Amino acid sequence: MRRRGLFLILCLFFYLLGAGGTGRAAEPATRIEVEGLRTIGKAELIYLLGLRGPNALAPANLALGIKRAFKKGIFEYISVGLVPGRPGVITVKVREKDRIKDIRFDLKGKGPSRGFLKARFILRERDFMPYSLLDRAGAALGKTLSMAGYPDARVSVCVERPDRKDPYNVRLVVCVFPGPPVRVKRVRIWGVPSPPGKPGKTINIRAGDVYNQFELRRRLFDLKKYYLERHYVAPRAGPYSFSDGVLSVYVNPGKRYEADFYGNHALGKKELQGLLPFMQAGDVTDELVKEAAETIRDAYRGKGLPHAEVATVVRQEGGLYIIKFYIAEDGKFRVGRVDFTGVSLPGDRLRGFLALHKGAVYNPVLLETDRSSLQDFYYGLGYLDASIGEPAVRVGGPGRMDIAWSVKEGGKYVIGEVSVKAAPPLSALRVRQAIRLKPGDTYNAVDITDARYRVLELYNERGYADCSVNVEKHFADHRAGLAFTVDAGRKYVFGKDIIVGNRLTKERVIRREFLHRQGDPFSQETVMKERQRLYELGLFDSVDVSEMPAYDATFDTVYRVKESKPGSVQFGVGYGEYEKYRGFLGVSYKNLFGMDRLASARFDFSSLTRRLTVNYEEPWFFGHRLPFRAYALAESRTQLNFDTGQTSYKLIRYTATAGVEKQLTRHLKGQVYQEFSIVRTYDILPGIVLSREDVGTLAISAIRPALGYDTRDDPFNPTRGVLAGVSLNLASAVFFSQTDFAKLVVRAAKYQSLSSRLVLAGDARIGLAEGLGSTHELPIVERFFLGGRDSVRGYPQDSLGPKAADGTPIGGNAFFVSNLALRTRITSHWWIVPFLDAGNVWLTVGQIKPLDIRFATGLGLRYMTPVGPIRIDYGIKLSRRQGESRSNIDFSIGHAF
Amino acid sequence: MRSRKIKIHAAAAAFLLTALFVSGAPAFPAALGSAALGSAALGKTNPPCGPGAGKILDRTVAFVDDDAILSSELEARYALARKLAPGITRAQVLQTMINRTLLLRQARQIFPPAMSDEQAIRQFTDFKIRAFVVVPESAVRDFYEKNKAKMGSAPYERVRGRIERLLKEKEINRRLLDYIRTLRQKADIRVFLTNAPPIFR
Repeated sequence: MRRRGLFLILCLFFYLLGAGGTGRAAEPATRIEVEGLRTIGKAELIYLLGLRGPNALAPANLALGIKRAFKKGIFEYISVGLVPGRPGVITVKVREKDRIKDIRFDLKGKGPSRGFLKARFILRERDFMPYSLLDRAGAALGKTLSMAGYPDARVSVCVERPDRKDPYNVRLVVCVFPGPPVRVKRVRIWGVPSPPGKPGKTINIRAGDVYNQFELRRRLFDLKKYYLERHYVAPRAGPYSFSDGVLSVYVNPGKRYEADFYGNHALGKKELQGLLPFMQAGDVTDELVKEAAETIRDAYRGKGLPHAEVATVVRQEGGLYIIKFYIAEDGKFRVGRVDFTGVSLPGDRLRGFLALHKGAVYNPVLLETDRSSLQDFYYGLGYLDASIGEPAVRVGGPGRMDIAWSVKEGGKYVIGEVSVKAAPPLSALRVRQAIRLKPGDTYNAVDITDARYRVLELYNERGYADCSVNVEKHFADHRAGLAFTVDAGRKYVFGKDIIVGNRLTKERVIRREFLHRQGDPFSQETVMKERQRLYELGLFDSVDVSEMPAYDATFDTVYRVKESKPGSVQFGVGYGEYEKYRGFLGVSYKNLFGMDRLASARFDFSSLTRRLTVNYEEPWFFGHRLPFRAYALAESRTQLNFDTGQTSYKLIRYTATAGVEKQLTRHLKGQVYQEFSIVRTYDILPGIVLSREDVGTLAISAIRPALGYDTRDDPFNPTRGVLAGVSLNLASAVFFSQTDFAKLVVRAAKYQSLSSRLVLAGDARIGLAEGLGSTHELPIVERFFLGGRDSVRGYPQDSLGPKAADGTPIGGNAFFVSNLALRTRITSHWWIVPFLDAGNVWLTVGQIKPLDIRFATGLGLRYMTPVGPIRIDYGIKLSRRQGESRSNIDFSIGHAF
Repeated sequence: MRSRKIKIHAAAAAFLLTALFVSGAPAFPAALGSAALGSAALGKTNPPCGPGAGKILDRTVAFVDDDAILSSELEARYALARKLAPGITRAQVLQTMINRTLLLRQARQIFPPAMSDEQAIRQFTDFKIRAFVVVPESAVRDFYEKNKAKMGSAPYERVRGRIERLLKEKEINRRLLDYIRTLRQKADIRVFLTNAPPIFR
């Protein structure tokens, strides 16, 4: 009985197993075999072909999948088939496009340089190989050679596959048979007798030279430019012809003008020259001279000289026109009183947005602008019938012009009934909430347009890309009834995403920035946000997003990226009084393994320091957007007593740090780092030893949580915003540290643009530290030091605060520093920066003396680069003590704060 | 009788253009499938693999840059085209499909993706070509004078409109061919009608 039961169970098991097998066989594909794929992964190809989806092998779906995969831009052939005798097995064969690995020019004879050929060949290295354009490329190069003076040139292009292991990379061999060149026997310049500017010298083609039309055209362009710079209004350099070795070039400089200005004070000669229309018009005529006078008159009105008059005298000497502008500037006027009649609104409110307000330079041209502004203002307030009369302008006193506006306000319109005819899936109530307009509100056409856009947005973000919203208005008794009617149209969803142009970057690095999933409602706003996120990765020069034509109310989206160069090298050198020479050399690569990982190494050196830092950054940690950073540092440093030049101590430090950062809000960032250092301090002056940890080898292990708030517009050269932060450094035996302490640093900086050339920057930093447990004094490498290029300029590096008996700074457990700078742009690249710095260091927190602050002021010079300024600062001590130097010079890279 | 011939010409020209650009059918093989616009091997779209290699469900028969033309599409168009022009070849049909793809790519740069292919092409040709074609009165008069004998005694005013339409369609067709020729010169086009490129393993 038990055996029978067992037998039945086994039968049932095998039956179910068999049934399960049959069921899987009915699936579209149990196995997909791919041949020929090289550039992208198999998973991405299958995703694009849609072979895992339902009805994948339906003809329409299959065609759609192949077309979608082709959009990737790397394929020239795809076939999808079934294997006989292997049900459920799909075979995909692809042929990727060849890529041009290199182009070699094989010059058979004397002719143009390889550089010339390479620059003018239409195919480029690293591009895909367009076989159908190959003959055309050869023919085009032949034509180019003909233009360059080799009319019998022949070009043949052949394709080689130099590497059998990498068959998709090809080499183009361009064989060029230049043939004999055509040479110039004689150059003839014709047009006008003896044209000025020695055109023969500018064209500079002599008998025996190759008849190179590219070179000839360039020189004719130079000749034309020469004439234009000398006020020839329509010079002609060309056309040219070539026959029997004779090069004939037509040259005619044409008309020229000289303009002189008399009586001008408010406008300079250069400004007035810029107003003349002759060069643009290419002629000098009486009409153009009149136009020039009128333009000058308008320019004077803009300067508050409404009565300026311009008289002209024109004298012609052959092709030269001498034009004299006599200018009577008359008195300068400013706006005096601005009055209104017929208004119920307060006059100050109306004056607030007028260009011609009290004290402004009187420019009659702006009267019409102000009239239009008033009209718009009244319209915006619902006064649809308001009319603004011609302003009455009269002289109100010496140099003063009074303006009086007369206004007929008419009645004020308000919104009457607002009716809404919504379309599913949104209710009328939800649409009404988006409209936000209610009966009694002031009628304003802009508000109504905004309301319409809000409704459109509401539907669009739910996938209704074709939605239309119609607003009908009915006016009666100064009330406007509004009727909103929504036609939602069809609902569209996101289909598949096609990523194009990512040669280095892995597909998943791009895909993880997406905010949608397949089947989500299609929204342009989502697409725009995704585009922004991809830009912010810093991996791409351009990101373009487009939708493929819709199918089944679905949009496949194409993300076309152009990758930027991932590697960079940085270097810099400088000189400071303390460190003497100093410099750095850095290399970085920001797209390691195509995963948006940054790896960098930097070597800093000076007469006192050698420091090597290796850095690694991973923007996604364990599948989450949680940037992980790790760096290792090896440093050898000598600390000097600046005054005596004696070595205070030397140290060798090895540090490893790792941690994560999290963007908590748009501006707020949190981070936690664990740092482990081994520090060896030696050759230390006895006077600065405060604790046993100051000498010998010490292991310091600390955890460092921090919060940062950053609203700066540019981290390298901020012109506005706030930078604030707090960080705590906690070293403890719990983390295997040989010393225990806590360090807290708080900072706040504010940047405020005062004008286009002025930025006021202020900064304050406070640091407090305490030894914990058996540690009373912090080891010297962890104590605070101040003075120098990034703290209190005017004082040598790290020279402030408590000192040993011999005057060597020993650092402290508390500091305060504050800086104020007025960053002033003098040219596009050069800035000068007057600054005021204040700060000090105290041995312990209990010894802080708020009045014991050391001040310094000075002037800095900055040269702006894309990664911040190169700077030199000259600081002068304001509270100099006996024995201290008067000033200090610092050279550095980046702003002080 | 002669005026009827003109009517037939005009109608035929209009039909051919409409058929080509509205339905995408290769109804204008003599012009758009001509050697002037590219050539292709004649023959069926045989699978590139030999017997026993398996059943090909679909495959690329041509591409225009990053747009594929598939065997399934070609066969559908070919079947439709044969009803209109029994002597037409697959290669000719494929050439019209390449031309259509070239035009569609241009149209898609302007018109929204929700618009159908046919509508996008029609609007693009209207916008790019038709809007700029004007038949001068002298050309209509000249045509009338040259073909007067064929049109019998039909007065000029009666046939003027039809002649203008005919000349306009001819001019549109000519400009369209020129435009397609320009597009072809810039595009990477390859045809795999009877053979496939080697697949690297």
